[in-house]
Amino acid sequence: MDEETRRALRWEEIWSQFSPRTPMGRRKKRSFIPFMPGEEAQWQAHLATQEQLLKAKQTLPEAVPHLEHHLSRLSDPTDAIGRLQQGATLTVSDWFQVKTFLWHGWKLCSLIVEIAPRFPLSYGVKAWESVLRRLNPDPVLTPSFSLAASFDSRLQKWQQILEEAEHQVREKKEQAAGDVEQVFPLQRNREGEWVVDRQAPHLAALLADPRLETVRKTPFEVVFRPAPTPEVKEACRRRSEAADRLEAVEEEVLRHLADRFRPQTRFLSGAVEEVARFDLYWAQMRMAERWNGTRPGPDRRAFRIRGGVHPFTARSLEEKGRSFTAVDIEVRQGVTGIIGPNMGGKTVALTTVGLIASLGQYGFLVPARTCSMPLVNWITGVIGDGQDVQAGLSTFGAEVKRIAEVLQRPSAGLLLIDEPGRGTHPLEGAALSASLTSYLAERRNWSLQVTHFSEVLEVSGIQVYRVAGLSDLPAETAEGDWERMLEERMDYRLLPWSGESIPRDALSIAGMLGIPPAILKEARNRLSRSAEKTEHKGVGG
Amino acid sequence: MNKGPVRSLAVIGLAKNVGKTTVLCGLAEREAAVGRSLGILSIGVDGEEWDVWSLKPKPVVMIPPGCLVATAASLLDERGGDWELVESTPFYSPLGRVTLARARRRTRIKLAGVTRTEEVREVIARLLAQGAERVLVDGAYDRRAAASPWVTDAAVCVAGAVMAHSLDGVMEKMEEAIRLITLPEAKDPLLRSAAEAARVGGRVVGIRKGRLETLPFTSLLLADRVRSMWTAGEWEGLALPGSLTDRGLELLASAANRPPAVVLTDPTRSFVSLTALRRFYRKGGTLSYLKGVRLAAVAVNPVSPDGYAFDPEEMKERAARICAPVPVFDAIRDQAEVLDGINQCLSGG
Repeated sequence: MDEETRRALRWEEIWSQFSPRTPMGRRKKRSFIPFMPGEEAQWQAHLATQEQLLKAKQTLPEAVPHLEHHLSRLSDPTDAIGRLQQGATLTVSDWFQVKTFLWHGWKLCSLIVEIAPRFPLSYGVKAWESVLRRLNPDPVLTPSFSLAASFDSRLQKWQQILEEAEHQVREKKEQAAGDVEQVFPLQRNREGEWVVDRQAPHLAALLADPRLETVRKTPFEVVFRPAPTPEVKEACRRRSEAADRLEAVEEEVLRHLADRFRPQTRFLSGAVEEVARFDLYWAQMRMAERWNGTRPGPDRRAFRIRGGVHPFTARSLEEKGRSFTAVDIEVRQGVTGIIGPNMGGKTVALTTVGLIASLGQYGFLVPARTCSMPLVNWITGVIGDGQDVQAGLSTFGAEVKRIAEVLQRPSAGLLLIDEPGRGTHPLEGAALSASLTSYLAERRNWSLQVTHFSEVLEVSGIQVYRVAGLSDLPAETAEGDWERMLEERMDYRLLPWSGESIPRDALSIAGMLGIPPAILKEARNRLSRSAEKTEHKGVGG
Repeated sequence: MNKGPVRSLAVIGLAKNVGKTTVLCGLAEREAAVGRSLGILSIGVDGEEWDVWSLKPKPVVMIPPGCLVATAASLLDERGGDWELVESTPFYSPLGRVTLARARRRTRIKLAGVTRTEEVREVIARLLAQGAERVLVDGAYDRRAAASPWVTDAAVCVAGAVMAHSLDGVMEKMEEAIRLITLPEAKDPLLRSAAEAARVGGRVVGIRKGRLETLPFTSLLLADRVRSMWTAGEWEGLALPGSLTDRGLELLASAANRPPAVVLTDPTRSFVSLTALRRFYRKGGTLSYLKGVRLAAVAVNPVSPDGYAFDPEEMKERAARICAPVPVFDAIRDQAEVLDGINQCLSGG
């Protein structure tokens, strides 16, 4: 699918709302590719899994918030895995990230097993738990991570030594300060300092006392703290040594942990992939939930869609208080045409088929009541104003260029064309459109095209649908909400066409849109004269 | 205004280098001493080794055992053994992902700031969920948002000698800040409705002839449009979704009509000077807030890092007169009981 096709089908809107919850899911989405011909079995299995998740979600709705909570909290350990594989050690926060992944992955796995027991998992709950326990040496599993004493008994030993050393420092400092406070009327503040007013009678003695050292002086006060005694210095030295030893043990524990855990990187890589896979399934299922999606079945011959909807077009219409008329259509190999009045929803039908085919091919449950379809090599739309200003091409030029490119493709695909030949002289346009149709009718592509040219309908071997069209035409001068008026009178359904005459509604619609009656009258006169003169022109407006 | 127990407290400096971190550490230490579990986070442009405004080394925060912090994971790794990492957040500081951790022993940390208001709210909620009984928010100087009543339950303001070279100057600036923070909440139901509508809709909302009218602008910055609208009708009240400056006040006061009753969402949106506000009141205008800040205490620091100091007693006494009934304390000179008293007030409502 190229960019123009994506734009015409509003594919980017679909894609932007397809939101995996995890970093690895989002990464996998970037390389997400459609199923291709020959992958029908995998495609159907993929869809069946989504159906299973959808059913599970509906059966056990209370488990869903938990599952989504764990999905949203999963961290991505990919960088940490890479560094472990390169022989590096990890920091505490790296290990926390790995453990966060394992914790939420373990919880997620348990929930998947509970709500969707048939979901294909490479690693069971026990495998997750077993790896998690390597970062959780205590019997009770927790989501947090620290260099707990259970990793190495020396941690506790040096921690206790450090605490004892700190206690000694405090005690020696307290003793040194207490000695001073026995002699002078002083009281330490929260910082362990003495703030002495400049007017204090004992200031000179304090300044001269070697047991105190000055922190700072201001014009109003002098701040002292106890000078370190030999006992305090020794206690500080021991504390520093204990802290260094503890730090060394911690580094060693981190090194050993990396060495012991390194064999688990294969599990971790597989688990990251598994989580990403589930995340994508879940995100696809959540999308399909929005449009009450149905599983497209395999069909080598035709796209058969009943009750097809374009969700975004349907939503736009709903916002205007209007409703979407579901599309019923069968597109076989060769050419399928759609004819009908202007504003009869022909292009909407075209894009609905294109979107459903694309969603199906990407493994989504599709917005239709029923659907079967083939997997195709490509889906291309030549829809709307494709002017290529940069290449200096007009609407007609751009359209022809795109069609020419498609015709050169060796493999078969779905081709959606909106009114080919409309952008040039009507006679030439009709001739080109008919000959193109004739050519495509013999090809293996599934071509769906909207046309106004009667010449196209004369091509043998094509099937045609017509928009049911307007009934009860309003007065052309009627005032009011023309959109509402049109919708009330337009039957947007696609009906198989078998050669019956098609009412011409373009002038009626032009009247509804405000073209003055005099102009319409003149147009009708010209139309009558023209019909008398020539065998040509169009169908359906 | 919240009058119950304070679960989140912002510590904000009225200028750079007033000693905010010292106050924060003092409050944290006393909370820990009485066995209350704490959470600490920072808001603003923190995260660098050096303060971006003063180019002085940023102070580390002393953390008592059991205390929770929210900071960048890379900063926790500097003393990795001291921490139990408990939760990753989806938010990022300039130094990396913000992670919640509990101190396993007394330690120190640099706090990497969470930058967006809604993220601060979320991190506070997560710290409380992890067991913190109260969360202290270290509000960087440029981020008044920490004190926003929509973010924290109460605030402690820190004033320091660094604010001016004379004690009179410091007092003047402090008074200005405190007066503006403690202006009353709007009582008139119509004015409150206008303020609520402005806050939710993000548009200026006027009151004319007893009815609310949403105006087609988001602030008073478009002076010409505001002036023409203003002179066109007699407005009784005006609610702003954003900030108010002296220029905005002057604009409202310059019209021939009587100035309106102006209401802001909260005090952190007020950037007016006391002089301009007094002039505005003299002409008949008023200024109030939809939600006021509960000012729990004011801390004073008589020593400037620039090398001068004021008489600590005098500074504290004068500050107490300005701030009454809000308690004033000196985090360095006051004994632990004073801080305990403040913490107790926060718990008791």
